[in-house]
Amino acid sequence: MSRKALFIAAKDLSIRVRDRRAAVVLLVMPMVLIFILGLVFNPLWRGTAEIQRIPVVVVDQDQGEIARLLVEQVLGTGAIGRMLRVDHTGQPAAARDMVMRGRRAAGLVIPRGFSQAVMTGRPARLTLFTDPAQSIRAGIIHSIVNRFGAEVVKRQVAITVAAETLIIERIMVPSRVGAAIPGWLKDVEQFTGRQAVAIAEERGSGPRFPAAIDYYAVGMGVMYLLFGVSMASQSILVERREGTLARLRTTPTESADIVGGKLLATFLTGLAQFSLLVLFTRIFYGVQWGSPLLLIMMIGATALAAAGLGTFLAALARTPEVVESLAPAIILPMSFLGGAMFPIYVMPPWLEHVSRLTFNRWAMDGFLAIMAGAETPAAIWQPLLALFAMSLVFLTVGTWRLRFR
Amino acid sequence: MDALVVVLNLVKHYAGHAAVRGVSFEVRGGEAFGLLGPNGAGKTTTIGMLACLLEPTSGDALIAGASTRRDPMAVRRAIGVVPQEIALYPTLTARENLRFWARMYEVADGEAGRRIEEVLDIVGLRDRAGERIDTYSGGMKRRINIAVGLLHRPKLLMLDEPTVGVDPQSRTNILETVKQLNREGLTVLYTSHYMEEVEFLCDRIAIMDLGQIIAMGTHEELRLQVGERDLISIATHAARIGTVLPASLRALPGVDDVRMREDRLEVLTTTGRRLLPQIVTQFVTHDVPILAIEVREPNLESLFLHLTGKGLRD
Repeated sequence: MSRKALFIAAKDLSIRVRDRRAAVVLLVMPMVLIFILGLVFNPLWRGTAEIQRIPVVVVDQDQGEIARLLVEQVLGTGAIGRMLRVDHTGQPAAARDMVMRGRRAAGLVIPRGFSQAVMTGRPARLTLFTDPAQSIRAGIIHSIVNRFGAEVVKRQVAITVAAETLIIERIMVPSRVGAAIPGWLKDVEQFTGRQAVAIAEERGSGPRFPAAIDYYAVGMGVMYLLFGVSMASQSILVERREGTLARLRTTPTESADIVGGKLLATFLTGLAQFSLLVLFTRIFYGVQWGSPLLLIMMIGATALAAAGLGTFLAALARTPEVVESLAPAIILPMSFLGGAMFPIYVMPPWLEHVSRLTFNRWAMDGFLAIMAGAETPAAIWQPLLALFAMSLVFLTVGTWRLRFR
Repeated sequence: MDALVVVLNLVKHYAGHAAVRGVSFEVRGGEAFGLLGPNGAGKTTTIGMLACLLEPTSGDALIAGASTRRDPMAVRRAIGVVPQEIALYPTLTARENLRFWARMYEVADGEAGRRIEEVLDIVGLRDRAGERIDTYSGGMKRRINIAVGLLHRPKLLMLDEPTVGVDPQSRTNILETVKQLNREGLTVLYTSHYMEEVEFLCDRIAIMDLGQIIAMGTHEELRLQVGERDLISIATHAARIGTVLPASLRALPGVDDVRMREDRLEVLTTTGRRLLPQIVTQFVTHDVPILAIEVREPNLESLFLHLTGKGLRD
């Protein structure tokens, strides 16, 4: 790299650091988007909370033992308890209103005498309000209540059969049978607690997904890096329009130095932009980026590939305005496909294969691997290789076109 | 003096269209040479080829002995180019711009600071050199535009319409600066479609139209090509003229004709202003009052009109 290329790069960088609009677009915008997307999609990324907690309102007019069992033990504990957000109201009308207004996915009314009816084997009735707009969530509540109903019926049948047998065989008098029913229910609970067929579940370790804000720090960082270098690559077109490129060519400066200087400035812009984003997201959002050494390697490779893409874009266009309109048309679809907005694993398999053609996919794979704990370059060799290959292709075609235009 | 610039039959075609059609001229060292012509005449294309920006379709040019085709780097080191556009970086200060361009012109680091101050003095902007270019007026930008072309002390300064879009005061300032540089020995190649600028600055002028040089020479030589005479118009009281005064004026050497036009006498001559004292003497001798005198000389505008049948600004 000649001294003149370094001077040209230094001049470009000096111009760029004074561009407030670019600073807002390239640093503030991704920081804002990372925050918003991280906040909105956080539940999707958090271990067991694959689905947001379902809001349910309960009206317990019964206050009996079975009602308490339903509300406290079934709806309030274990896996179901973690899935639901239960609150209470006194009036069925109020619960109905909350559901119909969409503020709760379902409303459960346990009428007075419910526990007594269950205990004595008489028909019992529960009322469930559901929000049609939240059909899946309401369906889950419906299934839970249904299952509870089925369990109650099983116990009713067992107790009724036992009571009738004891009374018919004159082993117990009806009054003693009534007093013994609560004890029998406990025995039934113990019995039904044992599973006839045990299911041994092993949860696969699978890919370790980072927190949403970490994921979007990578996704937005890579996407805005592309926007950054596309802006930087416009500088050669701006210079052509303003006449400074022609003036440069009247000085004893080789065109290789001009193109080289521009490319270096574009690369350094990308490098600085991503490094600042790493720093800011670490400080303000606590993003854990992983091994600093691997991070430096990935940022370098990503910035180089982005600079290549920017140079290629500049070579395709005649004016800065063309790049401005061309850049989003290329960068946005590539970013969506590459997983900047939604994780790759939610894509159908064929789309997942297509995403391997994008710059974003490889960059994100590398950064996410580092976040997931990669410690040696061997863990990110594929993304590094893919990005270097992309740099080579884009830079060769781009610089060739720029020099011979 | 030897020719610093030798242009040999330069031709430039764009997609079948001939922008420059066989232009040849020489510029001697220390001379101010003007290319005058309307927009689209081929002046900028010619300058572009001399500045090694455009590859000629055919022909060549030698600047300071180096061929623009075979040794463009040597040519670039010998020339300073002031383009039509304000080819500066608007968000950098004037001094930062000059520093950058000094590096591009390969001015040694130790020397650059001194050169920058020197050219700032030449264009009179030393006090404002720390300000960003985008805060400058159009005229100030133009002056820094010229300063860039002087940084490496070129043998030839090429200025392509350097006063386009500037106010009259800045224009005068720019012209005076270039004139002074030429007086100090700098060879100047100046293009413009403003006749007055070329007349003011240039020792020799080439008039271009439709990609060709249609006339070339000193101001006097070009005037002779027109063959038109000066017109001296004297306003007076018509009743006092009589017949003797016109006859006396006709008898003066160099006077071709004398015409009466209402309350004025018009004297047609090839000797121009030099005849004025004798004409005034005749009026005094015959006791005819002079109310006003106007001398109309044939200019490059009338020459262009004479050669092409159209005005320079058409």
